[in-house]
Amino acid sequence: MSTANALRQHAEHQFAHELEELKKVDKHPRPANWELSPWAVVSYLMGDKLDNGFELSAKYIGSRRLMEIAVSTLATDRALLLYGVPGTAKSWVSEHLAAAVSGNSTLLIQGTAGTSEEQLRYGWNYAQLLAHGPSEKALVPSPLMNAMRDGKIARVEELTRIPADVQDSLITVLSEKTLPIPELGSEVQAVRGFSVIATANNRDKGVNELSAALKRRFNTVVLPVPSSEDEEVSIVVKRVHEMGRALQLPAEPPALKEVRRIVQIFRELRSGRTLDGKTQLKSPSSSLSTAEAISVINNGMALAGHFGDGVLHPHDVAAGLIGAVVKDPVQDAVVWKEYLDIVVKEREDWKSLYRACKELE
Amino acid sequence: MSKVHYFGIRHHGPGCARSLLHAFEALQPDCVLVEGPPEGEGVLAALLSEQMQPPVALLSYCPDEPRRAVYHPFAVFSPEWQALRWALQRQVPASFIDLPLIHQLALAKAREEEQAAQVAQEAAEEAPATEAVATDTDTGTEPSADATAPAATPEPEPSYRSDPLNWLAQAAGHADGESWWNHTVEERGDGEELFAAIAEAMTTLRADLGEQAQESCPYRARRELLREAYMRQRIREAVKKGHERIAVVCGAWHLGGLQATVKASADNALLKGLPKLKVQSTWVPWTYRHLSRDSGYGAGIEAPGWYEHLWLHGQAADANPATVPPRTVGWLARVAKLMRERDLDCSSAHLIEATRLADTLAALRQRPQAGLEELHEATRTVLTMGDDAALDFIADALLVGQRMGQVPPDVPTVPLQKDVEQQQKSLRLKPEATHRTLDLDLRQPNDLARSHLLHRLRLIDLPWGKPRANSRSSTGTFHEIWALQWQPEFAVRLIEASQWGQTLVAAASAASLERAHKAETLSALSQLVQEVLLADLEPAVQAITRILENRAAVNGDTVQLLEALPPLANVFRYGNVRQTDTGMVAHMLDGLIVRAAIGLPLACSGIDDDGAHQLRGTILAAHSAVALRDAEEQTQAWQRALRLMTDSSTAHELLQGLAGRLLLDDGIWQGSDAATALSLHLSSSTPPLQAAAWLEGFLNRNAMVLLHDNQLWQLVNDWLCSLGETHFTNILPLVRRTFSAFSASERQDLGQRARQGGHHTAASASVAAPQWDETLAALPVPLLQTILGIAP
Repeated sequence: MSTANALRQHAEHQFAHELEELKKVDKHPRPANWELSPWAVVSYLMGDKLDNGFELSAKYIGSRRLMEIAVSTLATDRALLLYGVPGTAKSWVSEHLAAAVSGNSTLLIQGTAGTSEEQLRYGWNYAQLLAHGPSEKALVPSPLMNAMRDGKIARVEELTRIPADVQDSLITVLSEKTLPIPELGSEVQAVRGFSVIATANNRDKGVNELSAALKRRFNTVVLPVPSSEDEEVSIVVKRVHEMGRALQLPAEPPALKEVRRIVQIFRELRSGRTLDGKTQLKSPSSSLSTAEAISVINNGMALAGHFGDGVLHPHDVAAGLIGAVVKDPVQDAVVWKEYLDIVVKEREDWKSLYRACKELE
Repeated sequence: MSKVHYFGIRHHGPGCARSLLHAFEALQPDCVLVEGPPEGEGVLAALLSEQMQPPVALLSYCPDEPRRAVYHPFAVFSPEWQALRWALQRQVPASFIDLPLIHQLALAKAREEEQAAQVAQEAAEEAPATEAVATDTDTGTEPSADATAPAATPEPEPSYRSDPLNWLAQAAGHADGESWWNHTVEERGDGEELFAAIAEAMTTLRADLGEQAQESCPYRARRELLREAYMRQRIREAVKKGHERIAVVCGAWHLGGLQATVKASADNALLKGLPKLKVQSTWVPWTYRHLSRDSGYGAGIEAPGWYEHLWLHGQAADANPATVPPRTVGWLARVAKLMRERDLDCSSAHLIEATRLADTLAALRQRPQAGLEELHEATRTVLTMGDDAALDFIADALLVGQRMGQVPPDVPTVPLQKDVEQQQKSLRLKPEATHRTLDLDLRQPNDLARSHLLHRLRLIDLPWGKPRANSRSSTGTFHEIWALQWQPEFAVRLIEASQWGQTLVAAASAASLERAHKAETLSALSQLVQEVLLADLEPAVQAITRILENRAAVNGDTVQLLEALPPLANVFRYGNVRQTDTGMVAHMLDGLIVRAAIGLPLACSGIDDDGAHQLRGTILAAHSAVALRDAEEQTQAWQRALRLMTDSSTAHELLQGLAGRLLLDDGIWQGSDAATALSLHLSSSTPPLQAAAWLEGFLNRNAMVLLHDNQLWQLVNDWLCSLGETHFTNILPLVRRTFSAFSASERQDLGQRARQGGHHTAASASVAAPQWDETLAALPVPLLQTILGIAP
């Protein structure tokens, strides 16, 4: 498998050496079918220095306690629901948890408004089905079914986008730990180590609210937005650095100053006031998550690398920045213009950014 | 082996208490010395009484200055409490060995006076007069807080001292001392070795901190020195008496001081000639809320509910280890109960999963049992879907709890307190820490007496009950609704109030007379009359009414007179239900109305817009007061005053309009009078701003008059249409404000009316006079007669 050329590597491949090193030193008891012990999983997520001097990088920057809760949940065979505003590393955490626990983060079902029960449970190969009737051979298992068979973690992304009736087919799987196949008169029983990590987004609240029965089968961990500016800056710098490697961006790593500035703009617009607390601002309709800050910087680096001098300048990030902020062409444009003229223009060392943004209007 | 055994504890630590009992069982001490005020020894015997239910506090106060009071709170899980009970149950001599409060309070007083003198001196020397007042009040409040706070917290405030554990916790890699201590001491079940470990840690800590450990404030430093010197003295005495196994129970911080080798003569010299104050001690009920950190008493624990659970579980486990359910389950069951009480979903299945998660978390963090943090996290993750709001909703009841202590009836009290307790008992009104609502039917003698009691307590500044406005009209004048919540500090308020008198009636009367003499406004006085009447204090009513009458006679301020009317009218109107004699009030009210009526037109003249708006509310309230009084002569006088106002050219337009409206509503003005006045005030020569103000007053936030009187509608309509553009722009904000006070439906009706314009009004007038067909009208009469039960 030529993973080196992949646009984006799976967590278990990108951090294979870390998982390997951890496995070597991990002396704690492991639950059945887990690749690592719960202690090692938390260390893998939070970053640590191993006894043999090997350094694990931090995958999640934030509260260690939250990760401990998440790992403990999986260790008690409970399904885990990661909940939070868009871009708070829910999918990221889910991928790394699956990679560390099962060594496989690819048993993934993407929840959409069109997700059907077949995608969640199993489908049929119709050619086989017509030719030979219902049989094991004609069955197309879902990632969930595969995870149950192998005792691995299945991931369901954006659970609340899935229509409610389809969601509820998870109930049997989560409570009875079995998936009946009435057509064959058989079932697939989950092997130890199986669990589900779902992510849901609280902006979708009320669209396809989880039924009480399903809710009860999940332990919920709320992932918060970064608590301080420094924390957010370090997340953005780290992720941009890693993605630069993955995407082979030619530009130099961004100057910390430019990153800081983007983060500050995002934080100010998100909270509706300037950092010094002196000026009230309007907030745009966009969610302005940390993930979007990362993509603005990446975007800017690509521009700088291919069309500029390789160094990240304000005019490289301006377009991405406006794109991230202005999601509604009428209201958000007003918010952004106000912000430019009231805040950005007045800041002495932000002149170049101001000009760059003005040129694009 | 030394004769003296030291047990360093943390105040209110359940783990300490449990280990202490184990240690006592092993040691079997023949003398128990506890850090606490020796004045309390007189009431120690009450500890074993059946009716003594912690949490309680040992209250020590100066009978001469009840404000100087100190509380030493005890919960069932306080090590001191358990140590004393252990000793008393076995007839082992037990005593408090802290520096007597007679000295501590005297020292505090001396310091306060010294500071006051210093401030006064400084003020006299340099500061300008105005600033001096400010500084004076500042320091005036500070020392009194100082007098109560430090002794209630035997561990004094400054950061490193407030929680010396923080240092140890930091070393152990914990966030704060509380969680470290909980984890290492309170949540475990260690035996006697625990105290050796604590002693070693604290002594080392104190020695290492060395200079830093010195109190920065010389006064506090000296007090600490004195306290430890005194305690050492008492320990020496106990040794001298020949006790073989002496147990000393004190705050862990003091271990270093008490075990230090100091000569007895040095301590003697230090303690010589301390000032003294008279001090009395008694037990008062306490609550967990006051034990918790956020109450301001600083007794210093965050989660009394959790500590109680730890203690009860520990006791159960000691008694019968085999059958006790795990601690985690017991706690989560409490969570579930509270959630269900608040209509939040919580099933047993939830609890099973929460327990598993809490245990797994504890294992992941290498702890033998789940602590409070793990339990919280499990609750949030499993039970509330990650929602903090639901947890906050139960946090108070869960962590703090509503438990309120009880003390036996025979502990010494001041006469006033006895009197109040007596009444509480006979009226079956138990003091409780929970918030509850009491609906009194004043026609019942018992309820009426309860109402009197609550009102009297309010007069001595003891707001046990807070009257709630009668929100529903269905509850008539004979209903009174109270929100009751007893606070432990009420005990000291009672002692403070005993300066007024030895019975509640005497104290409340004296206190309200004092307030009457100090009252600055007539309305405050008439308010007081109302309160005193509600409290049924006949002699006080007479005295205060006389004061009010005298003041009203010499008072030239009509506004004050007007403000004094509504409370008195209330008294007059509702007094009958309460069987109070209102004749005197009526007499005075009449006098006040006449006086106010005379002054009214003048009071409305020559005032600006803001003044007029304020006065409008006052006049409206006074108007309803006059209506409540309903006496012919007074009503006439009042209406005369209103008529004068409408005719006066100097009264503010808003109030002129208002007076007109009040007259119209009372039927003194006919529709035609109103129309004349309206056309006069809205005529084109009147400046538009004045016209708009008049209109605002006249409409009086109620559009009905416009909707139902075509003539008035027409006049207003014509006036608006005749305005020039500039004028219109000028008055627009005013008129807008006037109309915005109307209800939405009224505004809608007005809008429809305006859209139909003048033409429709003629048509509707013709509809208003229908043909009258008597034969048709007679048809339903028999049926109506049947319904109403009138014989045909």
